[in-house]
Amino acid sequence: MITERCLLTTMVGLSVMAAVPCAAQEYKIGVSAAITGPVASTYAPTYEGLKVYIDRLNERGGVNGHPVQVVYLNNQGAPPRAVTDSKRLVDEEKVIALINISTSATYAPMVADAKRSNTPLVFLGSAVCPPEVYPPKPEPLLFCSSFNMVGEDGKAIVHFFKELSGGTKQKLGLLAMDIPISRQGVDMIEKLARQAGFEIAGNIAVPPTAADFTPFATRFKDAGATWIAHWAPFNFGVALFGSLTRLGWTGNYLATASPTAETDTIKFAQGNFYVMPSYTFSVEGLPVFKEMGDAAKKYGATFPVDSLSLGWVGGMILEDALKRCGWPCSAEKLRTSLEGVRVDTQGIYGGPVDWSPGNHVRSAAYYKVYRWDAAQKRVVKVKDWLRIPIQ
Amino acid sequence: MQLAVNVLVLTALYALMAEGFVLIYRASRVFSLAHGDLMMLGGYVFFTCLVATGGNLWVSVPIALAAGFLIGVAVYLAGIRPLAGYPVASIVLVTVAIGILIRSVATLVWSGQVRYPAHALPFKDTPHQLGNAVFSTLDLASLAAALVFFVFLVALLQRTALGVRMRAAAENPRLAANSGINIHRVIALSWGLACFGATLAALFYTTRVNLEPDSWLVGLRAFVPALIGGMNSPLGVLPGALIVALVEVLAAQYLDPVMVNSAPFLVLLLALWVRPWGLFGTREEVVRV
Repeated sequence: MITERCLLTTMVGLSVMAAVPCAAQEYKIGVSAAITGPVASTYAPTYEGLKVYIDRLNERGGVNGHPVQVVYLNNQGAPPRAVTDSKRLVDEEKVIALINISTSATYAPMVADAKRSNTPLVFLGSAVCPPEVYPPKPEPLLFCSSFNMVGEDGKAIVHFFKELSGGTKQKLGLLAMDIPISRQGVDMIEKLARQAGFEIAGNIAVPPTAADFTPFATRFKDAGATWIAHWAPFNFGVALFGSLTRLGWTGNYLATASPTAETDTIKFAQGNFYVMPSYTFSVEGLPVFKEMGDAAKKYGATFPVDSLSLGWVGGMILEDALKRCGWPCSAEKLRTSLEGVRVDTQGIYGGPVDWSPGNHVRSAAYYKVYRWDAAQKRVVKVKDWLRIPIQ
Repeated sequence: MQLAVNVLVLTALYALMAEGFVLIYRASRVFSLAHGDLMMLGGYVFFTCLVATGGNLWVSVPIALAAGFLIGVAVYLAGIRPLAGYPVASIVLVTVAIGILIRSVATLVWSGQVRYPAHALPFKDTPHQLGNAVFSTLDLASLAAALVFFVFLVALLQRTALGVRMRAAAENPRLAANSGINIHRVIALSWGLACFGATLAALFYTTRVNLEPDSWLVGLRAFVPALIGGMNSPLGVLPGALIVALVEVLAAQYLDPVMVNSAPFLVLLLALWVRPWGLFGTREEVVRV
């Protein structure tokens, strides 16, 4: 016979059983990243940096007492895969935020699903921030902490051209990869450089599958380029610089950086190869790199520590947003929290990642310049932070 | 003069890559879509040896080339031979699968990180002046390597009993088999030689550009010179590679460099319209409408 006491005990027991999974409930985030595939070298380090940060965060108790469950999907940089990824993340996994770490070609399908489901979409270490995140009226659901920005990068490159050339007359060569975003970036640099009085020795877009860069290097050399810059994947510029060196070219090269730029610059060991990252290289020995190094070792990162910075910053942003969101945290609540993100990147960036309702990209971009110093046999800082307000 | 040097160096690279397509096609009538991946794998073996030995080329190059040869033989024995007698289309699809498998394994083992074997070389690839042209040590080495490879290949095919067996198996496998030739051994050898050439190409491509799992695309592009030269003509790849290299270098210098990608395919179309079996190939029996 069911007594009151028996019934009460059963109900309490059931309540406890129901409460246990509630207490263990997690913040569920979905990532679609180019972990493998043709462009993985640019994006996989950022994915690893984020993963290492989140693993460490969860081991320390998560956020607001709840673990952060991140569903990582590999889109290989291909738009069709991004389509299936974002549908799965939104419709099946019911994530409260989407994260893109991939090529600009994967943006559109993810943006469409973000809007359809009213889920915030954060570009953490994607190729370039999409125009919709810029002030004064950013798209409410889109946010970006990526390191490459077409207009700001162009301004920085031309600024450093002027400073590094010491006011002497220079002929600039500009290299793009033959993809729309890279061509757009290089065209912007050309326009700004012409306005600044530089002569352009060539604006060349090279196909992604070029078997040899020597013909393009020959063209730059024949045109008398004294400085060359690229706004393209870093390894692309390295390949051109290698061909220029083999041709005996003695000018200077300014490269925009990718996550692996520091390691590659060290291996390159060429004094006339300058790199312009929007983040600090680990050679500066900031304490945060020690933290990253320890975490990378513990959680089995395959990329060098210096290439994990951007993903690490992405983890900081996510942690900050989830803290603000509290518990429980819905997609809508998280979207509002993202608009209040203010992350001190501990020196990785030149300033904070500070999003607001009117700015989903940050208030300023910062750039440094490094190069290999043959005498010291290490990469050294040549120019400290240049601040370019984002308008 | 500089353009001539650029054309010659690119010709050497394309010829080494393209020869594998021809050797495999001649031996097994299969268009191997895994050839670019096998080249990439050879590049990784070379890079790994180079790093492990502290840049010792005397050890790294022979190991990489031997590994390339053995990988080619293994791919045939494990992946292609069991399909003997099946439609060619099935075997071509198997080569696609093998390519995807190699790419996945390369990403798992070496990660997606871009590698620069040039940084591990024991010397700097310094430029040398010749008249008004400049060429580097690696440029010279790639020309010499291509020359030696093709001389060796011609000698093997024309002057040795093994070469005669290979040609016989290529021209009429059934007759060759009935004559007592172990055609599977001969075909395996052809796959080995093809991958040996691809690895040789990888040594020069990866030290001049870079190495990543995506490097297979460059190897696959070499089917253009192979088709232009003729899929059953081992020496046809030389003029085929020369034509493609010439078109690419001239497009980069005088046209929009973007044409570098499309110009060789335009030439391929023209060449195939004129001679569908390739400039130096021989007409084959038409088995389809």
